[in-house]
Amino acid sequence: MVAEALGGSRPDHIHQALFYSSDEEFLAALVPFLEEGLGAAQPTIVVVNDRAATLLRAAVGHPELVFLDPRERRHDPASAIRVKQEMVTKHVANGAQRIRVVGETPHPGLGAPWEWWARYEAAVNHVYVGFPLWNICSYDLRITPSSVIDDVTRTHPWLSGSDGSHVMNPRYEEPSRFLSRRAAPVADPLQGTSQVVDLHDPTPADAREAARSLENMVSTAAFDIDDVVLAVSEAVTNALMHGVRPVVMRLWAARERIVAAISDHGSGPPDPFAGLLPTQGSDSGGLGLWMAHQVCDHITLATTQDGFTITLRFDMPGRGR
Amino acid sequence: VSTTATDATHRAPARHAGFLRPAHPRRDVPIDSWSRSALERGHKLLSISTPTGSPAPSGTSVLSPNDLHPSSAPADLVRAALDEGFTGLSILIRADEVIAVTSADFHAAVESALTALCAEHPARVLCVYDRPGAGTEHLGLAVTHHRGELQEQLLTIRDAEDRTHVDGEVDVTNLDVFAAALRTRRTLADDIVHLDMSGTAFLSAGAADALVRHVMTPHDGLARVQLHNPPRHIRRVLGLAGLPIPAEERAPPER
Repeated sequence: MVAEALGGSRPDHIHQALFYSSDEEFLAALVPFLEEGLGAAQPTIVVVNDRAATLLRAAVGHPELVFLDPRERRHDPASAIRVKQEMVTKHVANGAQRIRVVGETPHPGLGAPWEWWARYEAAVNHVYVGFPLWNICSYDLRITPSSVIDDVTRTHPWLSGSDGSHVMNPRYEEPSRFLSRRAAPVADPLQGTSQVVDLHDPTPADAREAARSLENMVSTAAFDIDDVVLAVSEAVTNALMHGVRPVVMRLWAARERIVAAISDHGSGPPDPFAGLLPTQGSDSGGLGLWMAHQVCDHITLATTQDGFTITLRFDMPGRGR
Repeated sequence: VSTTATDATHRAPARHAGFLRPAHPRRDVPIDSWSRSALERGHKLLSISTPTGSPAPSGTSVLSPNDLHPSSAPADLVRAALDEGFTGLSILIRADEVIAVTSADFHAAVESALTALCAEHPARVLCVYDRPGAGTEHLGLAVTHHRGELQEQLLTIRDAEDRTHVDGEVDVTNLDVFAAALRTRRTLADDIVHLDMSGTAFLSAGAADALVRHVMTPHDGLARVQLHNPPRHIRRVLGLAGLPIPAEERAPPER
């Protein structure tokens, strides 16, 4: 049981998924979880949509229950991990033995791309080892795509029972196994149009110059081209330093979106969590990929028989996040 | 060649400047520009020549490395140029050639002599270090002796008015130059290195990480680093690397 996962005197991370199809199921699973935490004076935090928050606020009605606005949440998984690590560390420093969080992970049913959040759901099992964090990720089956449900089932060691119980998930896969077996993501529809840049073995400076040239094709008021410049420069640097040439960089631009794809003939980063966590050292490449995750609106990593491709997407603000 | 090279034409070059010459088709453009400028200024143009070295630019008189060694009183060369009716002396030297026929220590002595020459006489010097070559193998020499101005394909680092200016772009191709320049100044400064980033057009993740580690390790026995005027996009990269930068400031550094 979950109590055993607490690891005796040292509580450990519990990563649990809740699938629900009605308000009643949602409350039946979460109200006991939240009340138990509040009763034990544990920091207890809810980060869900407005409607779900209203339901929980009315059902629990405890002044110490903290509601955070999901709109304030970082839009990318790398930032989300960093912010949550900082939050948990702060609570632990203040004496907390256990921190409970109920959250919603973005997915297409909530208007967000899924691929990098799938990687996030797998990675947090590795990232938060040793953190006394009990995190329930709630998924509304009425709006969650079946492919997302499949990924969630494979990335959460624990599931919420319909009666609020906590049960081990027999379909859980180790993060590195889950991440190494992912199929190549579906290409962005914009990639079906003519690219506006097609560079072979560009230098990082060439990549930056090409990204800056997009200023003539898109609304500079809508996009922060400096973000595009940084991300493509880091992706090309990684391909040149760690991949296998030739390196190809292609850019597509539309009024509301920019897509960059950088390919090489290597097998991609050996670290299954690349981009989600920072790595120190200028020659590792991991720091640049981590920064790129924080300035893009979506990133996919794909390794096929032909090599490795990183695809970076930038949305006009207000779209896609 | 680069944003940096273009900017350099709008600013008086340092009297003793270094140029890290890339393996690039247009790599000699800054050298040609510097030579033309010297002749337009009415300077006598000298170039060090070695048996296996590059041909000197047209209009150039040649001399040997020994002529610039402190033991040869290179100030006499300036006096001779003035006696000949020139307004001053400009000297072009190629570090790779000097080191190849002498030694790195000999070249360091020449660099020191040229620094003194430029400070005391109407003389200007451009020292060319090839990359790869002396500009990588003896990068410390290039950085130490050209703190007034060291130009690389994408980047120029120069000291002016108590500040070190980082102009242009820092990425994986010149991170070694940036890191060496920073460390050298931290080693030589008494207290604070004031780094002016108003002209920094790009800072890669690796460069931001290197800079943050210099800024956030003030107790390593070297001078502290204080940043000035990083543009918005540079502040963003530094923030991602773990160093949130306060709002823009334009005040001069404390003296």
